[in-house]
Amino acid sequence: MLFSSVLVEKNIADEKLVKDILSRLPDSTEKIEIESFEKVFGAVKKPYLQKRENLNLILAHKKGKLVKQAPDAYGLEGSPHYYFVHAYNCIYECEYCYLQGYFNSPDIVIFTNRDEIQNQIIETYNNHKNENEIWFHAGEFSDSLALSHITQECEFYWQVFSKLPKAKLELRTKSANIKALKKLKPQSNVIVSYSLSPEFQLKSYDRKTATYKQRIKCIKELSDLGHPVGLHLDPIIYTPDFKQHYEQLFEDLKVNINLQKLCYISLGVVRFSKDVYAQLEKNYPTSNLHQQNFTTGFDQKKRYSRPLRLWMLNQVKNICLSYDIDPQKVYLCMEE
Amino acid sequence: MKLLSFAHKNEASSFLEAFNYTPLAELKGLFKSHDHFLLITGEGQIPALGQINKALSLLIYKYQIQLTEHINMGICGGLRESIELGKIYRVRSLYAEKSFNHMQFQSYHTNQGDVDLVSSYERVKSDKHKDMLSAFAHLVDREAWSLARASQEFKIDFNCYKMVSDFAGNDTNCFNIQEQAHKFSDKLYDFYKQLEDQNISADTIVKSTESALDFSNFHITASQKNKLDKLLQSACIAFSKTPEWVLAQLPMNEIENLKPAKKRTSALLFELECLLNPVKKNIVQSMNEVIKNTPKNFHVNYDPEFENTEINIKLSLHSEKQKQELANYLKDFPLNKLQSIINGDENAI
Ligand code: SF4
Repeated sequence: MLFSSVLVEKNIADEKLVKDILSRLPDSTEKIEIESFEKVFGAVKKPYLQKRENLNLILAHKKGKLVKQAPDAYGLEGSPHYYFVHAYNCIYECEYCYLQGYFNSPDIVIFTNRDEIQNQIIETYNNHKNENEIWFHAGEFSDSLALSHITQECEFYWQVFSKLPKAKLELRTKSANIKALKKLKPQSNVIVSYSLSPEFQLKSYDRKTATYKQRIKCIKELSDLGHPVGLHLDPIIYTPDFKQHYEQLFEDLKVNINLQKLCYISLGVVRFSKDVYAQLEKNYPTSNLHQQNFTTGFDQKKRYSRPLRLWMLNQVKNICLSYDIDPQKVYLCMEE
Repeated sequence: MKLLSFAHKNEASSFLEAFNYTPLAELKGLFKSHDHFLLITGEGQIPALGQINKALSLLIYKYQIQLTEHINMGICGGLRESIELGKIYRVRSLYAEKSFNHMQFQSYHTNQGDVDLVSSYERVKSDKHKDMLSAFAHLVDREAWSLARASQEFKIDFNCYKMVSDFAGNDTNCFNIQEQAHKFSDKLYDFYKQLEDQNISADTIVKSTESALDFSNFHITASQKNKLDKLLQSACIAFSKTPEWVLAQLPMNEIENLKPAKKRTSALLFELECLLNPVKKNIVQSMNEVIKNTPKNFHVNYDPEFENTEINIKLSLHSEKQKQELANYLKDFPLNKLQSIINGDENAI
């Protein structure tokens, strides 16, 4: 069973969306009413790895800002980037995931006040009337598609963005859960972006996510259906032969899709904040990530030293260019 | 030796009958048998914390007993419908309520377990209170969190097994076990015997924190010692080896022959860093290669972490001749080359 129990805020228990979500969960999922999610989520320290055997789903309303400015270098340069908060946490378990040091609980929270999220998206859109395009990202704190069969979010945001022609929506994912997307008419301003790594790396670090082959299959299916697709080659992890692995990745993509049709490719090397690295050591003490050439910066971040990370980014960028990908479409994520 | 703890004497009655205990005069409620101790903690977070702290201090500091495991047993209330009355559960995570609707952030965790437990600040006699706590745990008692906390502070493995006597809330019997005390205690005793038979006891994790290196030959400041310990620990994790193995990978003979002692320390730290980060060594070597012809009285410095592309040149001028030397040196100074290494020059990696 995916969730041991579902916790629902009392005052939203009668909402249609809440009832719909509950109806898609197995009957055996224990339902508990709570006053407010803030009183429960993160009120106690719940170990991250309890997501393996004791994962709760919380249905709640989020107050305050639901659309936030994205950090620098979040997407293609030159346009404003925002992310909207529709969920917290993820059912998958990637060893490098920054969420393991972010919240004090691995429980999944889904915010059902979608109309308010929609209103804030529209408000933000209207504040940028003079821009040629404005980006909205889902999946800053969760995987955008992993639970879409339960939340039916895709359908909702599809309709929202159909009315905002200058806006772009990015759905970031490592999931093969594309059933809903396949039924939707492709929209030029809704981009599904897959995070992808070489196969051996994905096997070692990405647990429970779609496999390498499944992700490439999804990219192909969506691409064939006419959905715009982007790629995140992030995190790039150093091994002496990492270049060959990325060349192989492009070969595998090339036989499945027209690479020139990709909307963008973002590149980022693995990096950790102090807290996330502490969690990595605790949660995955035998992870190969501990054997990386990391340095600890003045800000206590663990990352490759500047020469190594810039070199790695350039190597992968050169591979992209060697496959005739427009240099304008390749951007460096979270890097100077 | 193990320590068993119960909130009330009634819950422990079958144990008190079955084992040949002697009370310890120093602490009321603490008993000794041939292979374990038994403690009656009293009810509630604060009384239990006081009692367990006294007991652990007495056993560990006065009697020098090596306690291997603390097992808390007893009865508790159910908070969720999925909980079965009369069943004994292994507790996984322990939470605590500070006051109504306010939780203690800190939680404790056992090595095994299937359900979570919250220690309430008062008996849970209303459904409102029960509903609030049920968001955090399946079971409720009054003291286990305090016992787990003390055990962690004394570095003793903690496990917790609770039998559900009734459901908390409006219909609770206030966990009144008087009438059924013997029945409950018998069940707990049988369960404990099973545990003993299966010999379920978590291994004591002995962590080696001290390295095998004799540092007397090195001049190490407190912050360097801190760095050394961290690097050594990271290397142990990275290679899944002991500190001895890690140190054996370093050119210790060369390092130990360096003079003065300060240099030995810097070299030791550098080599340890390079062991964890071999690329760094290449970069340093490439940088040094570029500046190897620097005149003696000029010092070229760069950010040792390579985050900054700024290069510093330090010198003291004593003569016009030196000024000329500096001008010549700066004219051909390989700034571009150094900065391109810092920016990821292929040949340096
Ligand atoms: S899919 Fe993304 S959010 Fe989910 S665990 Fe992996 S890195 Fe974290």
